[in-house]
Amino acid sequence: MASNAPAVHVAGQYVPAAGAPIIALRQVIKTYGEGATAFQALKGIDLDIAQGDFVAVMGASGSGKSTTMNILGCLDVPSGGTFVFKGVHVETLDRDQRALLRRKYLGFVFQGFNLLARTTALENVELPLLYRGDAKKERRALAMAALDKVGLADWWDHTPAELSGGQQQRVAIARAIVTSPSVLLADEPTGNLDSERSIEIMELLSGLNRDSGITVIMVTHEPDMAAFAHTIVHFKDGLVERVEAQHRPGETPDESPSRLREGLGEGSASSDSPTGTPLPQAGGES
Amino acid sequence: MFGTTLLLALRSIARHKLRSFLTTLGIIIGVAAVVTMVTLGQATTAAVQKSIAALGTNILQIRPGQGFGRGGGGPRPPDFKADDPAAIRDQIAGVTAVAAQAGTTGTAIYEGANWSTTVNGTTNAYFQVQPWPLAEGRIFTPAEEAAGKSICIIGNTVNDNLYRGASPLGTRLRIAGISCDVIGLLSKRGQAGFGGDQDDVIIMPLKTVQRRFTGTTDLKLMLVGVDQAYSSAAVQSSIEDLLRERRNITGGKDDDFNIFDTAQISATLTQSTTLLTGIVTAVAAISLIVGGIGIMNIMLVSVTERTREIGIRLAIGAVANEVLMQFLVEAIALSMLGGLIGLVVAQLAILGLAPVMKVDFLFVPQINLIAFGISAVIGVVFGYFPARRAAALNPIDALRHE
Repeated sequence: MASNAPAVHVAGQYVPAAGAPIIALRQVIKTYGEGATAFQALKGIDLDIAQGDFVAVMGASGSGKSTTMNILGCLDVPSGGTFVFKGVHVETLDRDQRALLRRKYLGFVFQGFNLLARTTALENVELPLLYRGDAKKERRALAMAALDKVGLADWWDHTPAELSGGQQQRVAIARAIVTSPSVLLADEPTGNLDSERSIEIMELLSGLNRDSGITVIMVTHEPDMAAFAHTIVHFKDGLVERVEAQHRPGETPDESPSRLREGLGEGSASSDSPTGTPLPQAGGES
Repeated sequence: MFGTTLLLALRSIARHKLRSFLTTLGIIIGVAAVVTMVTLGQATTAAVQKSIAALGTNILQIRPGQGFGRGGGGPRPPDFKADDPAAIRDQIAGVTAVAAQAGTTGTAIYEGANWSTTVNGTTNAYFQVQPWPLAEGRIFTPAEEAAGKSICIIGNTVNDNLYRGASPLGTRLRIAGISCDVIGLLSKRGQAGFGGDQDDVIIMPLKTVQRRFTGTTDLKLMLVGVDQAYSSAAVQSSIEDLLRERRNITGGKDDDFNIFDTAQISATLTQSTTLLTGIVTAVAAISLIVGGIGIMNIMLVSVTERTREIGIRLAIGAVANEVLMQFLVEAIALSMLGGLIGLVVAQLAILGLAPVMKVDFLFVPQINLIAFGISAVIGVVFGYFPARRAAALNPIDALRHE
């Protein structure tokens, strides 16, 4: 593990900090284009995300949150800096290695659902298992279990065209969790849904995070949806503006396990970054 | 891994039936066209060869006059003399038999049925020159030939029309005013090369026909059988020299007779049918290539149309190779499916066209295999580029594609 998580000594034993980061970004830079037209989308991101956290990523468009999500989803590689996922330096992996990493550890939920058309819910959910090479019987069982988790077991033989938006997103979530991934990446999962459906989806994601221990990272524009998360990361101008621990009933504020690497940037290239103290009591109203 | 790819590809084909059908249409037409053309070409060649074989191979037909397309005008060249056949038979090596022929036409009558037919006067050598066995009865005896007896051997068509297929042996029919005893029935021989019915004939001894009908001993046709061991061209040239001498044709004068080599006709006809088949096949092959380009175009369009799907697959964790394989397998499966349908269409087309073209239905395994193989190769070649493009897509861009 290339983790820089602080360790604590409990009864003389060395124990990694609770919620040692599953994801660690260090001085991540992403530049598009070259020369005079080059555009720096990320200007040095430092971010730790702990195992089991529920993170909401917020920020205006162009703030770098989508680029960061693409890097976290192993769909893109940083131009500079390091991205350590489960101890692996993702920036050193090639295209296929990253695909295998996605297959094994990541699940994706998109704003537009992105289900295969004319394909039943069951077959959509089975798709990641097909690429994983599971046998048919196993595929069926796991896919049905995933559909059951999202409450659509009875709808397994319906195609996306026969399902409502909320149902389609549930199928997409089932597809994302069917491989029991470590991390679920959701890109505005409620962006195309009405508020009632959105809350259902958020409750589903919260439940998965709580019960299955899946780390959820979600991009959202809506403070109401971000309120479901434990940690809110605010992006601005290609940098992490602040990391905000959600004060939730029965939890102490300090327990928010993901945090900005405060002070890490000092004396480095990102010394001009506004990585100041988190604004207290933003309450999700960004 | 391959099972998965195959499953994904087949699912995708089954789910987009119209797209799949349109993709394969070019291949279906191409394969069907190639197989139909080549098969019908071969069937035609076979039919031509069969009717030439019916004429008798290695037979030289010698007629007065300059043959097709030459001469014309001037005095009519003389017929052959009565002793010309014997001269050819005795003086030229490689000749198995020479049959002289004299003929007329007339109406044959038997018990109220009548049938207009050809009367062919010839000698027993006629049956040596060419293989034409009797179905029943016997050929002439030398005594009958010498005496010019009124006997006849009838062809199958005549038998059908006068006797309704019953045995004619021992009966007596009247032909052009004379009566003759039927001593033989020829086996069925079929159509000649140029459409004439060879079975519509009554054969009588040469002397009988000359005496009763033509009134001359001159001959209008000689059939010369050539020994297989000899070159028919050499025999033909010897006969030409002999006849020029006997007919007093000297110096640079043209022959006033022509020698027709059936083997040569056979070769010429086969050559021209082969050439024709080749041209038609080339056209059909072009349509097969056009079909392949059609597959490539639709696959390329399909890659664009399915960009988002490819993005989903890549995000879910498909490696580039799996996407490439899926598209490639789809293209190959579609091409082979198109090939199979094309083969079925071709057999139906051949079944339908064979009677119209008066040829037999023919199944040529080679051309079916070749056409099917080409359709598979087209799938690989023309499926590869779209597949490679699909696999090279950036998952982020692909997912963002509207």
